[in-house]
Amino acid sequence: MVIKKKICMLGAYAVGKTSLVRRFVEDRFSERYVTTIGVKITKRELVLDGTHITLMLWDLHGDDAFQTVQMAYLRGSSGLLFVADGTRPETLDQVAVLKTRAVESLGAVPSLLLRNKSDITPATDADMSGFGEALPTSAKSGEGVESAFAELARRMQAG
Amino acid sequence: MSDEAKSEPGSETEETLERLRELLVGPEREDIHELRTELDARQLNVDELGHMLPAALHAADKQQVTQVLAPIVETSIEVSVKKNPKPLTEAIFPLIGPAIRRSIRHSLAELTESLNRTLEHSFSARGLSWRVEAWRSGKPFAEVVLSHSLKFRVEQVFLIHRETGLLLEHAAAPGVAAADPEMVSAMLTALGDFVADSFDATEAPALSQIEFGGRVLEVASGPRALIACEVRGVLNPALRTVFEEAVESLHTDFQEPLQDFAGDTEPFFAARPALEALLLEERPEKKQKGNGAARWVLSVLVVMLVVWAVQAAIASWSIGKRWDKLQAALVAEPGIVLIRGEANGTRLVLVGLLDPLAADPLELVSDAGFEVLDVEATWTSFMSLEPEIVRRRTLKSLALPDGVRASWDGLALKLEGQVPSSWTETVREKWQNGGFSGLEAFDTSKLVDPSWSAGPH
Repeated sequence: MVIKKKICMLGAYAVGKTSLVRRFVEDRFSERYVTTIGVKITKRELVLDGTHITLMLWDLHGDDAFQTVQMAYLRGSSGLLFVADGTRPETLDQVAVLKTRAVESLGAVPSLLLRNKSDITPATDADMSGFGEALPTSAKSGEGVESAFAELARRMQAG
Repeated sequence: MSDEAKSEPGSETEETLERLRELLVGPEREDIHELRTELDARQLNVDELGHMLPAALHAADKQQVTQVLAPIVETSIEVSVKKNPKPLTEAIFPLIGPAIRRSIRHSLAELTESLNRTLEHSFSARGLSWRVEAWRSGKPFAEVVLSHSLKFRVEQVFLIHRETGLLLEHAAAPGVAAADPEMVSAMLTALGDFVADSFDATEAPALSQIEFGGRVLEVASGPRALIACEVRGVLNPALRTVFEEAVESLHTDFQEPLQDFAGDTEPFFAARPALEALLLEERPEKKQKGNGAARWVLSVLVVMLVVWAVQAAIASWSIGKRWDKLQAALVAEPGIVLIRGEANGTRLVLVGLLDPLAADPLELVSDAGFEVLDVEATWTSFMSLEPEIVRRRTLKSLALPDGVRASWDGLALKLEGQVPSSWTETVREKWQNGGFSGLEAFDTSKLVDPSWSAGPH
């Protein structure tokens, strides 16, 4: 079997989605596409339980004042990665909004929440409760990325 | 009604209750009973009807059934399309394409016809050889022109799942470096989404063709999958139809795998041959070897024909000119009257009147550049009264002796000199008897008899 799946990565502006995955994906398109057409696509191959899976990762432009995420790009996704900034808990709110909109467009698909910049200790007064079961990831150290992909793939196979 | 009161079997209470029930709800009871019976019966009927319906429809008069069902079906279709056009569109998709293409073909045939007529007046050597090809192969001339003006090569073909943008299968022409077709497919899909979103296009696929730097990406779409072909050069527009037919037949051949697609692309390996069949190319320089010799011979013949035709044209034109020149000369020449003259190719036929003292017509003929042997001339002798001929005839007739000079003033002759008077007497008598036709005046007063110088008799 040759399994290919489309997954989308969503998050607020400047949470570090792109740099997070850069090392772990096959890349051939310029960063420009994210700001111009709102999406850039990379590829991640992995083996899960003996099955070779190809993940086409659609890195969607972060939500900000100038551009909202195009829900059209979500079409056909088998899984979603939500990325929030571990040093800015307010980015969780944006993730929540994005998740609601995504579910509206797609229905319920397997998803994963990533708490990025885990290598930076958050400010002591920061409210980290919202992160809950989010997987800690770090673009700097590379921590958590590979397992994030594997976990999402697992959830997609199961779901 | 209290249940506790019922606990005594066969008691008065029960009887009383029963009677009470009878009094209060007696008639209603009957109704209830009837209703219940009817309901049961109805349910039975529905089940029975369900079983009987197909058979009944089969046995019924088709016309009547159709008439009754028609409005219902129409409304159903309307409702279905309003609710969600997708199922119906998908069902009809394999039919729509061919139907539309058929009607377009008709219109194009008409267009080609008129194009043909406009092109009919091109006379370049290439145009002529294409004309011959069109006549030989039976294709319309315009099509031949088009096919020779374009050259292209389909380098890559992508079969892409429309919804997800995932690559289902891919084919590349030999020698073409295909750079990560999976990512290209995904980005292409993203582009399509972007365009549709930015320009408010409807659900229908936004992109059908992307032109860039000497290449074209032709996209033929179906409801579930699309084919993107990267073409180098200028694609013969007729071949777009080939791509569209390919996407249609892929939808038919892979209907289930497409419907059930959940990420496994293995079922689509079988689509490879179909994709490879689309790696077309055309180069005008490639000519079939068999026709080389024939074409040579043909072109030589054509050249010879043209040369001969040109030469013949020039020849007949020059003959025309020479004939005009000859005619003018004959008319101008005194003593020749041309009654009939024809130039048939190089042969000349001349019929006319010829005075013996006129110039030889054959001289004039050869002066004009005609071969004397090609001339058939019939001359009837006559006596011309043209001034020049009259003069010549008169002088000939007079046979002027030495010592006599003649001078002319129109048709008046004046003789001077020395001659025996007997000669003068003779010619004067001849003149008076009309022996010099055409001569108008004869002055011999200046003729002197040499013997008179010796003194008068």
